[in-house]
Amino acid sequence: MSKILEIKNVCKEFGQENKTVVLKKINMEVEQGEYVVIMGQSGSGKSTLLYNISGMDKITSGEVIFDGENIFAYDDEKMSQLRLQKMGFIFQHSYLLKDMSLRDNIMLPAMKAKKYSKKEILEKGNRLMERLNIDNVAEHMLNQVSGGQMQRAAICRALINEPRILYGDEPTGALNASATREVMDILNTINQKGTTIVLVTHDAKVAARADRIIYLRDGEIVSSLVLGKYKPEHEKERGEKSGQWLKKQGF
Amino acid sequence: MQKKQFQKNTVIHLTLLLFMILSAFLMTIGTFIILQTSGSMENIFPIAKPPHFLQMHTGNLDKEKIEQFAESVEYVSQSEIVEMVNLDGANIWYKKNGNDAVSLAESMLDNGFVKQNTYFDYLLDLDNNVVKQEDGEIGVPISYMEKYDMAVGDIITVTKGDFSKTYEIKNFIRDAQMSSSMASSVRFLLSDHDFTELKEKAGEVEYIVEFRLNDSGLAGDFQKLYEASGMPVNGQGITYPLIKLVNSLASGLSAGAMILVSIILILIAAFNLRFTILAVLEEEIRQIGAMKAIGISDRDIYKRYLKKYRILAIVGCIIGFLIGMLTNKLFTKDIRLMFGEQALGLKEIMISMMAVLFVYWFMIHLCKKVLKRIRNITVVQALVYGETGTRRKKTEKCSFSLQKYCKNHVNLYLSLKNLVQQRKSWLLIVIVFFLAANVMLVPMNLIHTFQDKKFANTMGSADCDLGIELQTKDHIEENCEQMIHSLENDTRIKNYSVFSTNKCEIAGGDERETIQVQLGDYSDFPIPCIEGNSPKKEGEIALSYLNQIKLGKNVGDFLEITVNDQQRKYQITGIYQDLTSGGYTAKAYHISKLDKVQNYTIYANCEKSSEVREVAEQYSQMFSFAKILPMEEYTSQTFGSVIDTFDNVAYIAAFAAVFMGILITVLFLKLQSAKEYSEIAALKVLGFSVKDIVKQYLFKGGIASTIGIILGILWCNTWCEKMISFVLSFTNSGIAEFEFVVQPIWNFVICPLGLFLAALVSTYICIGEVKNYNVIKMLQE
Repeated sequence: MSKILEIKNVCKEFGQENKTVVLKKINMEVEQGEYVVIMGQSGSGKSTLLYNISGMDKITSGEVIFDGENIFAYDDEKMSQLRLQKMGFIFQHSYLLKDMSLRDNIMLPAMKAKKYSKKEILEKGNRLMERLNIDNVAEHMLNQVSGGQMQRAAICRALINEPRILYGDEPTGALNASATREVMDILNTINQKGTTIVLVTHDAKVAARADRIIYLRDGEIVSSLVLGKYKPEHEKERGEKSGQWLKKQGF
Repeated sequence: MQKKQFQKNTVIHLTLLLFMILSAFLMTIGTFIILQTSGSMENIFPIAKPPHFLQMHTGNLDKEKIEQFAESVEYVSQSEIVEMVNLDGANIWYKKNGNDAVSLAESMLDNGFVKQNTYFDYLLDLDNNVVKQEDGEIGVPISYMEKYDMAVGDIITVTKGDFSKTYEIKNFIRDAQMSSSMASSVRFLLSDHDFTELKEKAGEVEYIVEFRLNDSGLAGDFQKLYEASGMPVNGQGITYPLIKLVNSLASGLSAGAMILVSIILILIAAFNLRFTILAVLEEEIRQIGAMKAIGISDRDIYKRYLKKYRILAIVGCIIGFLIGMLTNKLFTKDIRLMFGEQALGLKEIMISMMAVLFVYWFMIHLCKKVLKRIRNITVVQALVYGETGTRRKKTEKCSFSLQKYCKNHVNLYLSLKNLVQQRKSWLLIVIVFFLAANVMLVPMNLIHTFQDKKFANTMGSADCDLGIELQTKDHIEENCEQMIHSLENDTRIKNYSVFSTNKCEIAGGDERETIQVQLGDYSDFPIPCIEGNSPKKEGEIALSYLNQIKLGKNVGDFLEITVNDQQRKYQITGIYQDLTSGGYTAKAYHISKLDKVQNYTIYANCEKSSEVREVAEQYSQMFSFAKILPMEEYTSQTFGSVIDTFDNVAYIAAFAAVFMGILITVLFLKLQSAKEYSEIAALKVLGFSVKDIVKQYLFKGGIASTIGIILGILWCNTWCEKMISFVLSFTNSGIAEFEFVVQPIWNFVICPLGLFLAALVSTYICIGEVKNYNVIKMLQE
């Protein structure tokens, strides 16, 4: 497997005079098709790490190599193209655009990327919505659907341009148990089809679905656990293994 | 807390403050101009004692008969017959120390030379003293002092034929009767001896028969009585209200313009305020929800927000008022010069304060109305949904869907969609650019209209290259023959027509009434009529708009008038607009020669338009008894003072319109982009670049401003004219239909382009800040 993401000596500081160091010389690698979860206590820097390695925030020092290129050498236009064509993002809140139907929200990045014809985009959107089981509410507005449906629409939107990597910042944070399970299943399915996933979460159950868990404390990677590819029949064992490991980390 | 609030949106609050300052300032200045004009007129009128009725007259005059008539009318308190020697500007030379002498030929004003009156209608110096000149001294009208930068001690030389006399300027004359910059005549003041000498040597005398009445309100009745009593009427009759009107017209126009602009600014400030408050409520909705949740009453929350805008309004109004107080002298300079100084007392300050208080009251009333929405917001709405309760229930269906309407241009689609969805917000830009287009175009169109020959044509003058008036009454027939002979033999002249003007009696009325009729052949120089046609054959007449109203006649009716001592029946063929002779004129088709003629007017066309000026100058030198003017010049001089008044205003207005457009666009985008902060962040995360976001705002700003500009231009060129016509119809000015003479380049290129660029540039600069936005912070807000 080839490396899709290399993080070299990444530091992040906030403030000018009273500097707060949030990330301390982080080094890590993510393989193509891997499912990595970043965990840690509140304030450990896990979300900051995700934002910095995905190019949404600017690192203080170090390098983030995506597909062999340092993304911080890119200008705004090139970075936007990178996000549009190769990256997908999902957050705790869906951040769908109001005054647009779910279908329009999903189609929007594809229309912007112009990789496919409008007909193809429509078909791709339909397939995604069917897969995520929101095709029945495709024309609904945001105030007519549930939080879980919105989050699934956000996943569809993140996937419509077939990104190489999908970043997620607590995508199940605002969902109930059944909706969380649905999203977890979807992420595993996507990963099985080849999309790399890097996820920040507080939820041990979500973490147990990943190939690898990285644990962050005070801005440093202190440990990692390799679980291997997820299989539904091994869910219980994976859960116990990751649970014990997390307990050991003080989680 | 308030300080924090102001610091949070400094640009927005400063812009709001600026609008309030400007509104209060203009309101103060407008009020001061009105108060200064009326106050100064009140000061000067009791000293100068202008007549309540005056009748100009040329020709013989029976003084005894007039005196007897004055004595017979019980409400006449005083009468005076003023002798005035009229001289063409070309006969008056001005010499400043060390410079060459220049003639006043280019002035269109009628120059009358008089001595000081005995009983009333005094000419005053700049200190409002009734002055009496010594021999060799002259008092010069203020308008010339301004125009030629004259000073006391400079020299005025009067020449006529062999006669030449030099006078030293002793003082400058304030003339209550002819003081306005819009009056067409001015009076020079000589000593009694010098006047008698000039009268003997330099030509004919025009009389001003003047009366003071016990009650100035009887001026109209007195005029009728005077005309009906067979008194000399060979000239214009003017009543006291008209003198007052002419005096206050120019300053009234300026004050009106100031107050109008102030009202427009108040409206814009009101739109801004409404938009700002709604945006702030939307931005701080969760804070409002939290305050409600912890038990702070609606009234306290309402007060907290109102306090901020109350502070802004108070500060804005005070600053605007103070600037107005300090600078009002700059704006009332001309008025104080024309009518004299009027110190602003407590009463004037109180009145202008009331005007500013109106601005304050309006703003606060609006704030209260908008802030009342706080009461309707529920805690759940605010905290859970983040809704202000101002938005209507969201639509069930997606309008303007991407699937259906977006082809390839996603940025354009998103812009249009946002414009449609947020149309209430973007309406501000449409309205602002609509008003900006009006502020830019109306004064400019007025100038172009007044400058254009066509305007003079539609206002009673014929469509010709040269207008010739024979004003000297002695040997008028010979002079006319001489002029015709020259025109006939001049190869540069294409065609010409001679018209005679007489006062004719109207038959059939209850009272003996006269009408000023211009008689001649209108075949080559037809009168532009607003209704019907120009008279084409004997027995046809066209009436001015005011005469039509006065006589109650319509096209097709008949009018019997006495021409050449014979009663003749004329059919009315048309109605035209006229500003000359008070707007009460008529034009009849008549070829045969008249026995008695009051005045001759000749209209002529030249073979080449390039020769018009040259011909006019040559004829002016050849015929001193005639006033010869190229029509282009005629219009610019007739409406010169109006053009001057509007000229500066127009350029300032154009600049202000662009400035206003930029300011509001910046203010609006600051608020709008703050409202759309999380959506911009979402788009950036999805892969939209800063360039894309800027493009979207440029589309939105461009489209909204273009709609406003187009509507503004359409309004200016259609309904605005109708509105002006409607207003003018109440002023009894003789204008019934007003049509702008539009300069296409200014109307359709410079104005829209200027405003459009202002919108785009300010949008670009303002929204360019997106590049500094932090996506993560934006998402977290």
